[in-house]
Amino acid sequence: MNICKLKKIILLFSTALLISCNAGTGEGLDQNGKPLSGNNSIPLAANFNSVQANIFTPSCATSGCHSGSAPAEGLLLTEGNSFSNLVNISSNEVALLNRVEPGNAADSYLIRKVEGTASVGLQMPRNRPALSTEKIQALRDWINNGALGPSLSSIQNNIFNQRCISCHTGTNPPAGLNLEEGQSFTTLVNVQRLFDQPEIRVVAGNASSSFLIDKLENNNLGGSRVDQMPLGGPYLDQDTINVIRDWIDEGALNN
Amino acid sequence: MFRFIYFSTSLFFLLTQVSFAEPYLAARTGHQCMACHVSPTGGGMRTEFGQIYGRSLAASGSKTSVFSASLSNSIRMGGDFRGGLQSSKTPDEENQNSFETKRANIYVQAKLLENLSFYVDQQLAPANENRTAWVKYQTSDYYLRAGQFFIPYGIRLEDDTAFIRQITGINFATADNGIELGRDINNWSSQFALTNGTAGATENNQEKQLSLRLAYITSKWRLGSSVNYNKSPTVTRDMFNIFAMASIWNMEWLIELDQIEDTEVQTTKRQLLFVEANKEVIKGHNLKLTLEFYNPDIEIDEDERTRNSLVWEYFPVPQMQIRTGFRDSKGIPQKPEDNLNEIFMNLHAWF
Repeated sequence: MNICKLKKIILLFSTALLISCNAGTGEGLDQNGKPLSGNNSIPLAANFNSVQANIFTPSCATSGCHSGSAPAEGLLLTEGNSFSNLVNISSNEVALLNRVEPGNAADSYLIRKVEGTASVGLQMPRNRPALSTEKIQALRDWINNGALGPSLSSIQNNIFNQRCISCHTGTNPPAGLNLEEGQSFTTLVNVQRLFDQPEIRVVAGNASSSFLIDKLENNNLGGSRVDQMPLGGPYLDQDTINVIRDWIDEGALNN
Repeated sequence: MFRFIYFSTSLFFLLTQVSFAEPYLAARTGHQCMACHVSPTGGGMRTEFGQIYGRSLAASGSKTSVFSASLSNSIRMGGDFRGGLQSSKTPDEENQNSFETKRANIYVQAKLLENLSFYVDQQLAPANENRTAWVKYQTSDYYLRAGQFFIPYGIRLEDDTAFIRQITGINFATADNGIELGRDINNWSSQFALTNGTAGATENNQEKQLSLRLAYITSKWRLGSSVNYNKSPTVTRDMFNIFAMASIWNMEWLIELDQIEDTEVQTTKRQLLFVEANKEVIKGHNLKLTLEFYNPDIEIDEDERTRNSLVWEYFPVPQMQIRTGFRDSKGIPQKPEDNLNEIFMNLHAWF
């Protein structure tokens, strides 16, 4: 084969590669490149679901970064893993600081990393455009509001302790439900509610079948299923209830 | 626009009627990585031969340096500085223009015994952190090293943001702790590494990462393959690639094809392609064209990404390089951060 023929073959091969390897159009996909399934678009807001969908999943949990079997700095930010890797967990680079310190965005290492003010390591996302000010503000607000997320300790601190234990406490709590720290798990998860009803307060792995969610969302209440909680209101907003839903759907662990 | 540049470049190469051939730097010489680098798998501090070869790339200036990196007969130093100006633009954001020190590193190698060496690669900027630190025992055919080192897998590109380095997670930012056994005999080069699989972070499970890289090297071409297995409490990752470097028509060609399988609840299969062509247009001037393709999930249509670059590299004087180029990254419109245009000019100085 002479050199000219070889040149042409290589050029044709390269050209074919260039033409065939186009970027996807994104048709039928959500903001994270997954197939649309009806309720994929989550607006940017200062709650855990939103920061996961709009920040962690698209900008951090990309393959080779904070995902997979060897996430950078041992920090896994994929859905279902990020909360337990962030909140009240000390950072690898500056062990004195927690990655997320509930109620204190300024001292949360996550914020210093995305704002580029960390004393160690590079600004995140690494080798990608910095997060927009709106996204950083959403992260700050989520943390300053308590960094509520799908773990029992977070729900205990931010919901049960704030809104429930003024009633559900002591040796004879309403409906026999004690939501104090150290009691809530054993009186909620896979426990049948009182009055010999077949319903389970929290069905681990299934929020929609959990009586607790019905009580919070005012689903089909009436008869013996009276009164939306917290009794007399104000009631929890849906973002807050969704955190409890996520905790239940992820197995209602004592975490 | 990019295709126009590509076709123009290709046409230029055809019309120049020079004999097109040879892969970039390592393959240009036909040597293995360890000929120019202290690390057997490349990257970091250069050997004495690597220093001399680096100086020979320059367009002008003395090929002999007054600077010596040797502190004594058994202790040597080295360093790299990379920094410059970067302008990037995504569809929904204004231009981001920034001066950046991309990386400044200092290397120290101490020869403890005839066959035993100690090596540290410390990054000084933009953040002070250790990249690698290891001890190596070397015989004529084998070596064994222990410590924190870069995982042997595929082509050791300098650009950590290339899909094949970024998506595989095996790059200059993810040195891992463990041991590595290497054998270089005749035309065969092989490395096997057993590491924590935590990208340098604290071990958090009972499993280990296994990496194997095998290559057949000739003076004109090399062909290789790598496998990697890493299991964590949440994800099991299997990776496989084939790669080739060749000298054809005074150009250096690099190709790598990767397949990744991530198994969590379901298995996600990813595919990556990297093609690079280098041409030394005239002495001290290298033109580099890079085409990259990434399919994040082969079961999902229309989610693919591309990343194409055209870079001019100029070696004005020994031990200095100026790189300027344009990079066009494309992804689905729903992810503006994947649709990035970059123009950059970098200075690279080393010793």
